[in-house]
Amino acid sequence: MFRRALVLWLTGSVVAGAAAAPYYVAYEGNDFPENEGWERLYGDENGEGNGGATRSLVNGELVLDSLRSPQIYDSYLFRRALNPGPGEFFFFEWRLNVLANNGPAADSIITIARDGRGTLSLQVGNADVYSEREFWRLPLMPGVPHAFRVESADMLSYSLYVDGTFARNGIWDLNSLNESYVGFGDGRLGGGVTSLASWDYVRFGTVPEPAASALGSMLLALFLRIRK
Amino acid sequence: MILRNWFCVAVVSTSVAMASATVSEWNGVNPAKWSYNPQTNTIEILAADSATFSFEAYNSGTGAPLDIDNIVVQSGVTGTVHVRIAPQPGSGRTYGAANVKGINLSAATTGNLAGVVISGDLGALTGVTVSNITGAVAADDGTNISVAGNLGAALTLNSATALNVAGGGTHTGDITIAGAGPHTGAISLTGDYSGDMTLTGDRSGQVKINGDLTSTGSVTITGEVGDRPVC
Repeated sequence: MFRRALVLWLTGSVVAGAAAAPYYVAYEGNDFPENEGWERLYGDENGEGNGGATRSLVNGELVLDSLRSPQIYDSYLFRRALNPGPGEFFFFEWRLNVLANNGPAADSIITIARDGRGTLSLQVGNADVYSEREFWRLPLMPGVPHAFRVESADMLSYSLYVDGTFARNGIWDLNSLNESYVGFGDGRLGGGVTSLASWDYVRFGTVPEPAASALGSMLLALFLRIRK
Repeated sequence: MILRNWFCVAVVSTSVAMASATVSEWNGVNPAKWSYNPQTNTIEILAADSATFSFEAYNSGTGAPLDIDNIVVQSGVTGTVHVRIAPQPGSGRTYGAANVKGINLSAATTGNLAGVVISGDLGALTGVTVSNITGAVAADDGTNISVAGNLGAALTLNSATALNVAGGGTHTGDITIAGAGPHTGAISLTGDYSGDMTLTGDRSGQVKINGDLTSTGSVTITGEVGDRPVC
């Protein structure tokens, strides 16, 4: 009886811990992001809230075209608490095809502003992905879509995967005013930079860490075995 | 030369969490040299330029402060980067408070960068961190801008070769010079000072403080000092 109670308590603790604040947000390119809870941040040479990118939804992807002017920007923010709870890790993944990028920098940008202030901003160009604050740069095969995934258990350091392969580790810039939101889109105003990019999906959330998940499964199996 | 390269980052409307900004040119500049990232409130300086590269980042309103999360200087930029946290003196433009959280220099840039100048109402700063600079660094309050032009928050310089804080009032922010050194440039502070000053690393340059230090929390200098510092 005691053993059963202990197993029940442990199982409940693990499940409760893992489910303390799990969440999952996905944008799949089926509608414009502002219709799915994202905040649109856009503008052009006439100022904020004017114009923005020429947008279209093509085969489940959001196409952002700012080739007309480097003053065009068109980004989407989702504000909420981001950091994972105990036994969880945070992920942010996106699939993107940069069809054109003109100018000295990348136009397609994602941002992860952690809870408690801190900024991670990755920029994807024609043939590279780089970190605005960390100053690293990785080459990419141009002209094809790439899938990116950021994972972090502590929101201080992260691992980046590109097309399913581990690419590198990095850190958030904690010298930051930004807090508790993620963003994606055409994020550069000026710089002589224009782009044409197709965003397939943007997904983020928290999930149980593999170890915690395995422990929960093990305890659940033990509990079921005891019940027999 | 400098006037031709002044930029204006004018905020039409602001919110507390994130300033919503409109970036515009002023006095005919080359917009290809810099960009603004509204996702992160970041100004990025992109292009190489052997001349002084200057821009203004200021809040044209009087409401919530303009938050500039970071000013990032990418690799390949040369010359001096001048960041003015207020309109140019004599412009007649009014402005509100601004916070600049950080200035971030690419390690690849620092070998070519002649220096960084920060001017404007530094009393509104929440802190500026500059690291790995090989050229001169000056923090100046811009005498025609504001009577509040004093160092009101921490200013941290790592391995800086020179620092000039020229405000005439009372400086309340801490000044920290970190890094192993050797620090060869002069450090000059004008005005009364009540913050803490910590200098770490070997030093051969002069330290000059012209003002009242009676309210200073502490002055700590560690490392080998090679040129008779005056405090």
